Amino acid sequence: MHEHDLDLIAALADGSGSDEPLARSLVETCPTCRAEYEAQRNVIGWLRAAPTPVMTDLERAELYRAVRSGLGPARTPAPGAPWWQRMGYVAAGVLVVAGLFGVLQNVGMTGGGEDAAATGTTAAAERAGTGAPAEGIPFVAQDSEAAAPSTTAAASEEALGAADGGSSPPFAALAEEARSTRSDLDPPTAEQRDCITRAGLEGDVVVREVEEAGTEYLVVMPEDASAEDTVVFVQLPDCRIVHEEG
Amino acid sequence: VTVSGSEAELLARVVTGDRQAFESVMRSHEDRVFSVCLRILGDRERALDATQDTFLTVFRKARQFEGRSAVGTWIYRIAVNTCYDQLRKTQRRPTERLPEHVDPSDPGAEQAIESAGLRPEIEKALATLSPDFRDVVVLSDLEGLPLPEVAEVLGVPVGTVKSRLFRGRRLLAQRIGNQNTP
Repeated sequence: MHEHDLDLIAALADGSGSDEPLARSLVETCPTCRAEYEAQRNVIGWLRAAPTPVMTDLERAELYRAVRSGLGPARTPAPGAPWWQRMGYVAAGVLVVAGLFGVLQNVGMTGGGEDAAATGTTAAAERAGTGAPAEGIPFVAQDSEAAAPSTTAAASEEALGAADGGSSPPFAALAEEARSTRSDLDPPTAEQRDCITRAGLEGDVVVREVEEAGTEYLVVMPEDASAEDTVVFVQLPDCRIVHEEG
Repeated sequence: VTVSGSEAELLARVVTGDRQAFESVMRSHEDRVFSVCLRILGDRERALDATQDTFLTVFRKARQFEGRSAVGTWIYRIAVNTCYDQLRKTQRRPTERLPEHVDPSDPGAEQAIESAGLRPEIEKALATLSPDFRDVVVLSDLEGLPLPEVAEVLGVPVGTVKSRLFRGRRLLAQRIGNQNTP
């Protein structure tokens, strides 16, 4: 039996063959071909009957936590972000540009045309890159850092998903209410638990559902947490964290 | 191969840093990526690490997706490459599979491990296959991907996939037969 025949028989076994009559005749007339056919059929049967591995709830939560951690803070507001979040980015950008302009003025490179400015920027960048003291660079860094809190805050809000426009629900009041009624909260249903897992939160949580301005949220708290601990709001139905309070 | 319009659009949003779009993409493919990684690496913890690395790569390289294949195909290609990167880094072959660890704080762990298990003789035989053969068997027979998609994931012609698949199965049959021979 040739290798070509083996391929024909293997293709017959999994239904991908193009010359079925020839393959069938080989199986019927050649004992080696029949053995090959049976072996292939057995292996296909064993493999295709194997169950698909699934992640456990904890594994899935760990995956989401690790991926979110690996991505770091978000840097760009979503297209639907409210204007004040966008303005935060614009303001941060303006501060950085203003700072850079100040650097160039300090090192006497403004007014020298685009080439000079470009050279100065490159030189400053090179100094910064080599670790040599770069006059004016700390100023930029300070400005950037000064702008960072608003940028980070905006990014954080976006990362938490509060970027749908419109007014925010009264998260603080809802969180306070949830904390004060912790002992009355029901354990999550299977559906809620799945949603919480998808949001990357721990399995053991206390939960309730609230509706604000037509949007439903899960209010999630660690079951054994102190009253000061964070209350997390998970928006339904897409199970994404939109706000953390506390 | 047709490009999934909605998924391609989501990936385009990922390029802009849209985390919600990224999570949608991740949700659609995380189970299969984990499954592929577990079949290749043979260990849940390493499979979870590889799944995590796969999606971080998806986020960072979303810009490189050209739309010539389905988003899923592109992601599975990253997953397979990530698994082999991990194997190379640890210098550990799948034949040295670690025993599955059951986390006592994870109530579903034991059941998940048991329900996902191949028959031991098949798993053992699968681990002895060379990566070329194992990849096609995992993607085609275990994950059920059509041959043209397997070819795209691995970047080889369909004929090569068929050939490797047939030979991979043949080797599995021989090795399982040998294991069963006293």
